[in-house]
Amino acid sequence: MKALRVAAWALLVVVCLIAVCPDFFSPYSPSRQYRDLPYAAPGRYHGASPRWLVHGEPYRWLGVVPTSLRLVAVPEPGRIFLLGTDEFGRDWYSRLCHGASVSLLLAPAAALLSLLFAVAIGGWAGYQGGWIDVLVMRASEVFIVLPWFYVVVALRAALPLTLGSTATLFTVFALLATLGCATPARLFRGLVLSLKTGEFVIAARAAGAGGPHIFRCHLLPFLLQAAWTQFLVSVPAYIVTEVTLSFLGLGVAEPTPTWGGMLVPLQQYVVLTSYPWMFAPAVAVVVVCMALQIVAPPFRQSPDAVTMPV
Amino acid sequence: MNGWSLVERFVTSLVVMAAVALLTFMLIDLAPGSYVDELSANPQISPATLARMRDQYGLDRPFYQKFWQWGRSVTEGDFGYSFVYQRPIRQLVAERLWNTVRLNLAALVVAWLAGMALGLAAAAARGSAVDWTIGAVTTILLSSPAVVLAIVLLACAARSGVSLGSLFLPVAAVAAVWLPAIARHTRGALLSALDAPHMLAARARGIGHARLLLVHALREALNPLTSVVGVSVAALLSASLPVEVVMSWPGIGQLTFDAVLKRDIFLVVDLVQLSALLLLAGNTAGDVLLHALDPRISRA
Repeated sequence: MKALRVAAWALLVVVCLIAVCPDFFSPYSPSRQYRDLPYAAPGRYHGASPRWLVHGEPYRWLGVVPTSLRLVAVPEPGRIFLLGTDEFGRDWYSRLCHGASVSLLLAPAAALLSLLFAVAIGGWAGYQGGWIDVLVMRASEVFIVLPWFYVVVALRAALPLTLGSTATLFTVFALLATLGCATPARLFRGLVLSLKTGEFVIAARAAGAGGPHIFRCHLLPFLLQAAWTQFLVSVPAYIVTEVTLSFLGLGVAEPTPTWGGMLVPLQQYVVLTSYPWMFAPAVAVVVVCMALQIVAPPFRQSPDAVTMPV
Repeated sequence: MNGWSLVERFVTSLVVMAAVALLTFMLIDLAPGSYVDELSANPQISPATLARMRDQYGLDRPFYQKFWQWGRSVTEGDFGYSFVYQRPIRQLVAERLWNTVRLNLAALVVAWLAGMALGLAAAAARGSAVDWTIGAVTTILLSSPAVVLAIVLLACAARSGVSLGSLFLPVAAVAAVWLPAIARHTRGALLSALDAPHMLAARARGIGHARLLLVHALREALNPLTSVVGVSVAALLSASLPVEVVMSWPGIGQLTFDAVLKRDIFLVVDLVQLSALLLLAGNTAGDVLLHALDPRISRA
């Protein structure tokens, strides 16, 4: 089991590296079209001989630093398509690398945001008790019952069309994080509720410590452990959410590659049956989510933990 | 769970549902444009007709007035009118509700039967290759989004060319979403039941492995599993929505997706209410079941 966990961590590190500098790891730009080679099977074309660490098509690292260094590239007119191409002849592997940046940077960000909300709101409600607690718990019930799907669509439609796809995506995920904080908030509230009657808290209060101090120094360390577990559990849920939204056409708009958006061609029967390499993003999603599951510390799953946004 | 707490829960649910409806109207109001605005692109429809439609459906009113009007009609048993389908919503939903219920009931039965069988098999042979394989399968399924499961199943069916009943694929996809959680909970509950001291005592008295597992441990494990029943009933709908859309299953999920995209506001609100109602009902059913099966919880 230990070897498996190490392997999962290694995989996650590699995928995160790819997500941070997708251009370096991919031979082509994600939007570069080779119209002469639509739906090309994985392999080398026009007598290509791959070279390692060469200067290929120029790009900007992190959108700022101009460079052209790529891990693998082939001199013209050779072509190398590790995972084949799509209907416009775009390199599927390069698109997969670029899709990783959206899926794997946004999902942890949303998970982190939702945890911040959850710790703050849940901790506050649990510590204060009384009518604040009742109000927050009732409000969280509304959030849990509210079908997030409609909210996302309504917001997606409310955003001006001129807004870039990245800005839209950030807003959608910020909203998902806000909606998703209800369940973990209840968890943290329960934790604080059971902790605040502990002797160490009473001792701290007797020594004259104020509420914020007690929360920060005596309660927060306990919450952080639960928060870390919750983080690892909720990241796959957000990745899955992005995949579903983009697949249904409500996520990122087309030119920007995301793992969910890359599954859209599979809605065509021909693609579904004849071009197996188009399943690559599905495999990527499943493998990354599996790695996250293996890495997550084992814990007694409460039935609440079963509910995922999708 | 006594009568009083049921009444309390019922009242809370009503308040929650009203809040959800108000929020839905508010969010629809926030979004620019409406169904009528899209019609205005059609030169064959005169501005006067559009204005009359707006007035007739009350589209120009603020969200709280829409909410108030909607609430009053609902208490009279009128669920509104879909202006996209040009039919009363009650008819529209009634036609499709059975499809979704049929799909989800079948998926629920399949997921529970298969999930519990897998959980039992894994617990019976703890640490063996069988246990490991079942663990791997549930991990893979748990990592797959519903849309991916639906696509893969479609691809398999298309490749094999075998024609199955129309219900088979959607049920398999929705069941596959729920199966891993059920299998894991079954295995976990059984293992913690098997580790209890009285199991050792039972084994010392010569009770066989199969009887120990199926009669003694399973009965004890059913208790934590009942709380999963409520959650799984409630969350089935959210799993079935993407599956319905991908597989073109004419159910509530697909209707919802279309209604949201086309801004059929009263239909959207009614469908959101329906899903919220099913969720609350599922939770309540799970709790009632739990209290009925384990009197210790009511006493605590």
